[in-house]
Amino acid sequence: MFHDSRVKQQIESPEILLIEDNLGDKRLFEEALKESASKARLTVISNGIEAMQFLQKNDPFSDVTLPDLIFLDLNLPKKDGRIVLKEIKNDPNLRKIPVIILTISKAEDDIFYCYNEHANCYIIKPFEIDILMQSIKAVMHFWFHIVTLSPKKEQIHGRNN
Amino acid sequence: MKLKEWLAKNTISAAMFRYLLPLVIIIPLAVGLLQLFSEKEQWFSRDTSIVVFAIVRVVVLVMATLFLAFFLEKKEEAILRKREEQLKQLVARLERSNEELERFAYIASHDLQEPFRMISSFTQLLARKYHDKLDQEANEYIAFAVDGAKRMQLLITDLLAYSRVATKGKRFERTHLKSVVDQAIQNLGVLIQEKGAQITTTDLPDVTVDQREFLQLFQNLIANAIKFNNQIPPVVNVSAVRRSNQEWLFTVEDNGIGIAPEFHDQIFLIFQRLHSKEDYDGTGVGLAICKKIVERHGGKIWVESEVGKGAKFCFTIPG
Repeated sequence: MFHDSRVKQQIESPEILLIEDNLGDKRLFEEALKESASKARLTVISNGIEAMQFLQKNDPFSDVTLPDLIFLDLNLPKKDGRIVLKEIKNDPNLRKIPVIILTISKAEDDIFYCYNEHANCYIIKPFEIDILMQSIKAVMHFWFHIVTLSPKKEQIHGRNN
Repeated sequence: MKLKEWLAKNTISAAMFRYLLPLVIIIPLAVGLLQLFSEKEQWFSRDTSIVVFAIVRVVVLVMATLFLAFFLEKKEEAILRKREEQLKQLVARLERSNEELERFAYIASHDLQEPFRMISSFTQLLARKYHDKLDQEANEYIAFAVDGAKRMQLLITDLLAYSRVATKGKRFERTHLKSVVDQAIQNLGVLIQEKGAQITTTDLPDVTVDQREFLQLFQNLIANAIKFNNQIPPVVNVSAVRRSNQEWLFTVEDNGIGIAPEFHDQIFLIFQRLHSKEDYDGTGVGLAICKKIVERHGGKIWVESEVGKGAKFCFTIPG
């Protein structure tokens, strides 16, 4: 019972990290999130280096909570999204967090690379806004209502204590 | 002056003339003078002298000829090498400019997508969120912007597809064409159902081609055959015949509106359209892509048609 309530708590206000440098895309994502009626809390970071600092809780992000879900653009300034993906999936503290690639690239090389580096799914940014809205809604529904996510490390420690 | 210019030319014949002419003058004169001198000094008896100088003439001429031949061969090699080098440079330069052009088209259309998606998305968002709050005129304006954005997107996608034929072409592999055409027909399911089109295929062989490009090729040709067609039902036949030992001839034949002979070449050029957007939509890239695919496979594409009598698109590929 205790375990169940904790999972539910995780679903109710999920933390989402969007790594995206384009202001327009950031805004579209916010609109889509709003329409999906999700209570998710969104953090947006606009370059790869800062994103890794955030995720690894380095200064100035030492107090942040790790996200439950990461949306990652591939073409990022300072540190490319492909490298960010690789670093997340090679980090034992981060690799359990699902990473959703959200990119304009249709290149087979990119798609192959991302799955090969353990991206959890690959979404090509659609031109039709209706499709974008539907996709974000579907992703939120899938990860926070259908799927049971891995408990956070602190929670496991908490239970062991 | 003209002779002098010709002699100075960097050709084998001019070089031969340039080097042989002094030799044929100097050698007989020199040998003759030597013979005259030897007779005066009485080096040999008269009979021996004739024989000796005959031999000397032959030996000197043979040596001179051998030397000249050797010299000219070196010269020829140098000239050929230089020409080859020039040709190589020219080919490399052409290839580079062609590559650059293709890369430019690819990058231009690829990079155009990003800012363009913003225009498209936010006009759509405007329509979506403010539709009820604006008057009819404002909504009309937005509708025009959304419509223009959609067409622009089609153009960019097609342009990208066109430049991809060269930049992203895959290796050729043995391909069962019947299944490729079946796949094309399946992809066109909506259009075929809408127009009630009947599509038949006859005798499609196995060939060595880029499978994905051939899917696109057949898909474009079949789509056109149905699109430019007012008959009920539109009928399309895809077939192949062995033309000779070296090539296959493919035809995609329809009972559609046909094309006047004066446009038979023009339709394969990029962005060339014969009809207004209201009558038949499209970006005018489809057949240009077909031409590029066929030519990349070493074949030719053309159309046989008259207005109102259907069209027969033909293409060959070696194999």
